[in-house]
Amino acid sequence: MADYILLAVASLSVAALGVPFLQYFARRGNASGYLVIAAVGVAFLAIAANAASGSTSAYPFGSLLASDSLGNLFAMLTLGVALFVAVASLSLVPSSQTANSPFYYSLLSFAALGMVLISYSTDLLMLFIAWELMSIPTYALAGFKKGSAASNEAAVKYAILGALSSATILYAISLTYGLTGTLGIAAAAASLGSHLSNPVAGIAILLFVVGFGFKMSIVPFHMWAPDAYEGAPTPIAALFAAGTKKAGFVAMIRVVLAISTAVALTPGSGLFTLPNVLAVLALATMTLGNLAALTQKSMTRLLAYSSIAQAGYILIGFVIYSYGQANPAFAQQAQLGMAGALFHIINHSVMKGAAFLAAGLVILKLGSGSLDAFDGLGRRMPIAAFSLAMSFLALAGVPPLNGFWSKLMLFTSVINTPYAWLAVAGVLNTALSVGYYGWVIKRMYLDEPGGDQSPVEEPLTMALVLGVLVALIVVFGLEPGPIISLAQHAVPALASLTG
Amino acid sequence: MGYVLSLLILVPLLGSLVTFAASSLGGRRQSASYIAAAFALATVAIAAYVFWFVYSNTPAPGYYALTEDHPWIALPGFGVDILLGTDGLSSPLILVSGIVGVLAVLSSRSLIDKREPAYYSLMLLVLGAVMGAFTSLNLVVFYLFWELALVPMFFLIGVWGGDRRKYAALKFIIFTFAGSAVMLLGFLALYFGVSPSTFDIPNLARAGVPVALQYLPLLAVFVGFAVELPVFPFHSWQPDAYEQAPAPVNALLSGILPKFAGYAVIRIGLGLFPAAAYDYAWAFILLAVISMFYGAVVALLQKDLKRMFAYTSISHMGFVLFGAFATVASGNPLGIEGAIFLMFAHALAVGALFTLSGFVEKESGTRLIPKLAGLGRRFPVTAALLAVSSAAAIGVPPFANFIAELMVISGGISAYASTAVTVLVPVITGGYFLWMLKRVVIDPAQEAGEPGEAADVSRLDAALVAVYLVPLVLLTVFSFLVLTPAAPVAQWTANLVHGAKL
Amino acid sequence: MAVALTDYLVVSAILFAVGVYGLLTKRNAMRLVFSVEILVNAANINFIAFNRFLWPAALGQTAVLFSIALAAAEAAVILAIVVVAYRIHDDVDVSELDELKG
Repeated sequence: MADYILLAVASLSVAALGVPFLQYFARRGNASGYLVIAAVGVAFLAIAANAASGSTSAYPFGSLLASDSLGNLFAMLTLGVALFVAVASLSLVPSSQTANSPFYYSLLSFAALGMVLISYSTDLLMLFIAWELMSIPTYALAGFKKGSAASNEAAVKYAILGALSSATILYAISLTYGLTGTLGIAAAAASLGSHLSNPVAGIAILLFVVGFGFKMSIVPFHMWAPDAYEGAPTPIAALFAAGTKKAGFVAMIRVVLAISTAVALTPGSGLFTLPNVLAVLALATMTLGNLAALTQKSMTRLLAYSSIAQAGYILIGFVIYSYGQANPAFAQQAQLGMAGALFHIINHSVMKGAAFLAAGLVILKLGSGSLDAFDGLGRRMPIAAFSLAMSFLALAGVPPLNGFWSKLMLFTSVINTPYAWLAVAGVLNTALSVGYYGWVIKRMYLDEPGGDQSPVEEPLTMALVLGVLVALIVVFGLEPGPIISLAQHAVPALASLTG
Repeated sequence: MGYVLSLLILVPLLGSLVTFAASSLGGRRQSASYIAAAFALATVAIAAYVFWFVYSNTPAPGYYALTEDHPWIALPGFGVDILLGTDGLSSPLILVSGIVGVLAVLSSRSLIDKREPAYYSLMLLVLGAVMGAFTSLNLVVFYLFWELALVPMFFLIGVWGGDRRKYAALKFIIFTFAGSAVMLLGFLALYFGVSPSTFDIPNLARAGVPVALQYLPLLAVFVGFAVELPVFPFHSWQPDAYEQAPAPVNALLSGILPKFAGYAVIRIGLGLFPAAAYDYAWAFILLAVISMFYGAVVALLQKDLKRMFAYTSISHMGFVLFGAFATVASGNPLGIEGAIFLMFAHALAVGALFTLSGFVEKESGTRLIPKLAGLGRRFPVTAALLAVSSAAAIGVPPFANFIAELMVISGGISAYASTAVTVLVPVITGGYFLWMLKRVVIDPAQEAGEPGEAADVSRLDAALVAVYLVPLVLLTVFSFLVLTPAAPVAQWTANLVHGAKL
Repeated sequence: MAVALTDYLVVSAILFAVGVYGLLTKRNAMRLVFSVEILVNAANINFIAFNRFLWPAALGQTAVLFSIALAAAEAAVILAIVVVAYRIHDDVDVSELDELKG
């Protein structure tokens, strides 16, 4: 039902536009936080109701948005992330910033609104507007730590590369428009079928991959991510890793995987195909991400590189999906791979959300993001340390936690295909990643605290947020059926787009 | 009755939670050992029942007893069942895991004195994972329990271990995790290999894995087994981990965890990849024989008691691999029967040895053989137990290890006569154990130690070590308890491989 | 001599190349912002030219109106961030920004 989506959009818009006025009324900064939490919560419930109502109408708002299971999945995911980020911000944003907090929460709601609209977009122009609606507020959020050179540097780097990404997408849209005369994704995909031999179509698709690739932080478009994650306020880093990054993935699914099924990148060439390009990107992304993570000395940078590596695993599902579209013999694998990718996207948001918010708590309390600060953390901050340890085990793919199942699906989907080498690379990368995940767990639980040994107080809201996220890690691991089923249902919605 | 195997897994897992919750929230820390012991005893009772059940109702070859099927993920295009079952291959391992588990928990009482709630909780977690690994007949669930045993082991070594415990724990987890990740790759390759797609071992075996899908997956799976056993040259983590782990943890780490791999070689390596196993048998036998000699010779050179036992373990696990593939090469089931029997016997013998090493270290403050001289005079009971346990490990006749090694070697000879050379391995083993005993027990102390500076092993602890050894003697007489149910499995596997080569 | 569609496309492609070149070689934050603007305008020329020559419905022009508005908003935020950078460093050279390193 379109009404539910409208309710979500309205709720977020009202919060985004209304909250800044609170500055004139309530000097107590947290009021705006509670208001935005309520708005995001309402939006989340509305989307959940939309998903539960089950009626998927193809084009509730002209041809701009589609209310389908894929959109519901990503809208719920990104709103969930926004909700956790907003709640965590109550305790993680330093008190020196509370004067500006209405703007902080307003920008957060704008970004959430953008992510919701991206999830449902079926029109390239709509997608682009939603993309900017998500991106522009996050530039400001990255630099939100007033007077901090690091935060400003993060914002500069993130904003300029973000603008490059937007411009690339816009250029790709203009080429698609030129070829097809339409901005509707489904219509464009169908029309591109008659331009199979036109290299411009291939260029447009590659430009889409590049543009979305920046947000997904896939290698070689990842260079902004470690700086932005480290410099930005930690809850915002969590938003980047668990939220905006996922918007990049849904855009990739909506646009690239829908359009490209109709078109070969360079006709007549067997090697330069979309699955091959994605496969190379997947390999580079997971390998470089993991190798770089091994050498990091700062927790947020380690998490940033780990996040890059995880994007590589997710791409495996995209590879087999686009391959299966062209080769019906592998349809089963394609379905499993895409379901695995969607499941891993969900899992990654939960795991990385927990990791970033726990790390943020430690950084706030101990005043240092260096790995040295995490020595003996198991004694000093048991809740943060336990959340980090659980999310790391899940990220490493230790069963029966959630990350295990999605990786299992991803690797199973490619192992009997020409892309079996991706499964081999994925498994070796997983083994490699134990090098740094295990190292941090060792420092937290086996090493003694370096200087101060006293226990540190952990605020109740953070304990609650982390508790819920860790519970999700365990529950999705022990009872993955329903959530995999959700992911599976989101998959056919893609195939229908290609008509 | 339909839930015996579930109980076998859930009792220790529940015990793990209860132990931690009860002793860290409520009562005294020391109460953890009592709660844990109660759960371990319950586990061993169920294990004994399973063992007895399989003995008296041995399932037909290729079938399983006490099976349970709980669908876990049942979706179109992707399914994982918690399929449990046991047969003559797993039931002895279940029993011996129960025995070692309860003895390890009991012997911890005098050897572990910090953070008991977490310690006993993790011990029971390992025990539950062990039971899960031996009973699950689904590749993914098997992998899950395998991993579930490794993570608590990381903490058990890393928190309660010796001086270099952190290094050893990290090395342990990186090696074993990498090995098992590669093993998982081999499992995954099978999913779309048969129709309908499945991870269930019985269904895969019945459908028959396509021959083209056997070779690379077997190698991948073998990497996991080889790291866990461990086999030369995949063993480099093992001496460090065994040396640094606290003695009771060692009983599990060296007594039970390698049996995962020994069990999987027979159940998965031979059961699912018979054609590839047949073609590669010579290579695996070569590797096994190298491992047997390597372990024995390097053990000879060790000065640290625990490192010596560690290398002994490599040598003995080589026997297990040797026996399994001897059957593949010759079609003679004797090799597999011997391997099963040896796994049972080795777990107890090595458990006794490592537990003793803990007592020796506690009493005399060192594990270095040259510094231990005079142990016989200072701690006569410990020394006597060390001598008897060594005899068990060497395979001196009243102990069952002797029969097991003999079976494996004769199985091997029927495959390749040249492997008769392996009779030298027990000889070397006997040599270095006797040499160790001479230096530790018989030689007089170099500097005049003051007798009575520390107490000899307590009666309870001595009894614990004795309990490790008693079944070994009994088994010599009642070997049929293990061998009768093992025979159909061995014969079935032999036929399968024999059929595959034709 | 009439200006053909390809002429517009060539100009657009050149602008795109100039923008990418600027982003890759320049170190001055203002120049980087200009480069991004050039990229956006390359796309805008495409839209208008395609609209004029191929697809008469006003879809391309609509897209350009949105794109200009969004580019303005984007530039405003980025320039604000650059101003803050100038206050902190007394310079807008991005190679001076080296607080964050691995």
